[in-house]
Amino acid sequence: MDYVHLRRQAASLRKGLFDQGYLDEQFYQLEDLQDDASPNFVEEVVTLFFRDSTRLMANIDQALDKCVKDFNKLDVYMQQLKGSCTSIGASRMKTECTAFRECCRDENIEGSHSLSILNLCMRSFQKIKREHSVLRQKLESYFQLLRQAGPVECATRPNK
Amino acid sequence: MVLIDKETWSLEAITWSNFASMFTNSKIPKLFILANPALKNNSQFFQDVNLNIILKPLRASMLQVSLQRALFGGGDKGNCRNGVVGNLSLGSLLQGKRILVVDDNSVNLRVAAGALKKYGAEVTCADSGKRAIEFLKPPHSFDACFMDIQMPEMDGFEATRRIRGMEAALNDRIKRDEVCREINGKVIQSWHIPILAMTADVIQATHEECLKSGMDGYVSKPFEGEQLYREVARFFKPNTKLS
Repeated sequence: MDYVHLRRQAASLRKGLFDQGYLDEQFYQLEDLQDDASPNFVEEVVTLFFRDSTRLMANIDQALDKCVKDFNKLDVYMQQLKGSCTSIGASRMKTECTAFRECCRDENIEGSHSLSILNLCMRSFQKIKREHSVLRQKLESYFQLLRQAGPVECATRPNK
Repeated sequence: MVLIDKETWSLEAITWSNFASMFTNSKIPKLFILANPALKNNSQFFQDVNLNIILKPLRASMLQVSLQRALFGGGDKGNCRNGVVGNLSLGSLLQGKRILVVDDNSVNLRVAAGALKKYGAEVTCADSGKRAIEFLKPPHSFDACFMDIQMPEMDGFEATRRIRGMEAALNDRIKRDEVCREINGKVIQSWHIPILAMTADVIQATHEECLKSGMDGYVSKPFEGEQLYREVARFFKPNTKLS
């Protein structure tokens, strides 16, 4: 097994995630919290994030499906989701969550257009789902590479 | 004071440590090295206790704290290895402290708890206002509480109000000598656990409501090092004798 090559691949994947804006500095904070006492902290938190966000998104999906026009409720779900995204540094997802919440807030100003607002929300939500899926796939690949590369040291941090 | 940007000056003939040691024997000038946080992986450099390191980009508040520590001492030879206001600083404040973290979002809870544990705190997690009240019904042995304010069933404000209510009731009885003041060998004249709000949206209204409900302050979520230090430093004194 070429560990050096695997580690380089992992590092490059990781760099890509930052360069393309999928992750922000908060992810560095997570990496900082990983140490001998918590050797898998980052992966654990990320796993938790995807479990939690999948659940939240299912709730939102359901609400949108039933054309529930309770925009306050949608906003509450989205606030939760955005909070989780912020905690792990999921930057692009966070941006889409903010956009979704803007749609919900619009409803409060022009109540009569709630159906079109709902459409906007649905489209915005599709974007969130896409970002979620891409981020999940990339991070899963990243952690898999790390595992294969061996537990020699935590992911070396290449220059920004 | 001399501040040197590590990247603009490559020391080849001598190592940074040797260079810095030329300054440690004299009181002045004090040497500070400005470093790129991306290089934190170069652990050798960052572990070196002879170096006062400040991470770039240079921020006024960070500079203030770093200078204070380096010039006026305290903690580990007054050196600072900054990332989050010198891990030593927050460590000296939080080491061994029993902290309750309350948040209904499990991801936020995990990250917040992880951050506090890093500084040596003993962290207990609670996922609701109700649980927080159970934990903080006096007498208890917590030293501080970080409380999310946006929780569905019972928000942080309400939970805090109830906790203050319980404390007030007990304090009354203490005054009337109806109960013992001692817990775990400590004499407590009056119960008041420091409660800091954790909030994603920090706005003025939040601040006022925090104070009205009996909270002692707030920090943003996720934690931001300098702010966390500032808020925590209001309740805990640095422990200069770390075991």
